[in-house]
Amino acid sequence: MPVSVDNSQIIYDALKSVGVELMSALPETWLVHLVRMGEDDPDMKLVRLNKEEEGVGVSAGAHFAGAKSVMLMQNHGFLASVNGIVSLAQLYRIPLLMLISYRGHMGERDPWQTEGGLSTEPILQSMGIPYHLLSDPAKVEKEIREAQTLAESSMRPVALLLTRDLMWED
Amino acid sequence: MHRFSATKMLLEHLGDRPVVANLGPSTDELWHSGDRDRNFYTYGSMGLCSSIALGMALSTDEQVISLDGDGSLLMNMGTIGTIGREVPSNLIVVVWDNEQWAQTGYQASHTAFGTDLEQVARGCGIEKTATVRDEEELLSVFHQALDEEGPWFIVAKIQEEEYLPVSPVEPEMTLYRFRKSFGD
Repeated sequence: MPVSVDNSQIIYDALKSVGVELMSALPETWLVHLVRMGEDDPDMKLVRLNKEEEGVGVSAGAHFAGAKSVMLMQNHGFLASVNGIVSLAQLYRIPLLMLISYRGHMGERDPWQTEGGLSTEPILQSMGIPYHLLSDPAKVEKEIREAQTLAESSMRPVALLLTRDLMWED
Repeated sequence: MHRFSATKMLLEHLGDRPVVANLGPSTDELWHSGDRDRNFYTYGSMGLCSSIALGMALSTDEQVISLDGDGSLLMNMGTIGTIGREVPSNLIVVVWDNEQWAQTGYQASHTAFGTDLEQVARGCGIEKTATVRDEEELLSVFHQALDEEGPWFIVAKIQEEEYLPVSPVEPEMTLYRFRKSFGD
């Protein structure tokens, strides 16, 4: 499977370095190594969801109890979470770090991913969610740290889009 | 059984434990039962009450209580499976089941027909479950839930009564007070 193990490790290490203790996820090919790293880490609480919107609630609850968390999801999972993000994370001002695999963007071969790819950035923009595209492994650690800092200072959701350049090797 | 009276009863017995209440009457009646820093009132976010309580239960050693509703939980039924998979021993879910989406005009929900949420929970691997129909039964099983490791899933069948005034809607204040009670 040509998902980059090295870059997944860089992302995982960056999440650990900002103090993430809980991550929620559904299976997603681009995130397969990241999820496994969480599974193998005795200090990480990995919560497997049935639908991504649950993860907004789980992250909110973790925040209430003082734990830092991240949601790992595909962009279609982000689309499935929109109400929870708006009416829980934004209404209550919850710092919510979201790592979103950016399917359906440049280089996409799967037709079924393309509509979600077209919608992702416009919807993030319309929700007022600051976001950044991660593509250079050398910058990932800094970009994740800055995203977490902004989420905490603004008390709002912040998204990082994981691009094909970063996640895929072919 | 009526939700307001049953909520007041539970508050008398749950000590300092944090409570997350579902949107609408469950939240309003919790506020009227006795406002406290460890009440989390949800407004909006329909369906996420027990997901929030799950995230809390996985992040603290304290027992966490979710006061959910049938219509809301039906919207996010997958989270019962997530609870069944994570088996947080410190989570107690109470579902106020009036078999209606009452606030929007008393439309019958699926629990008025074939859906039995206790059986759903059991089917998701949650072993400590109950369905109760009066306050005496509820209190008895609630004490058991406080004493025995969970997760617990208690369906409390209720009859609707006249709504109380809406509680103050202060999302940021609610969050601030609630988090502060955990020492942050």
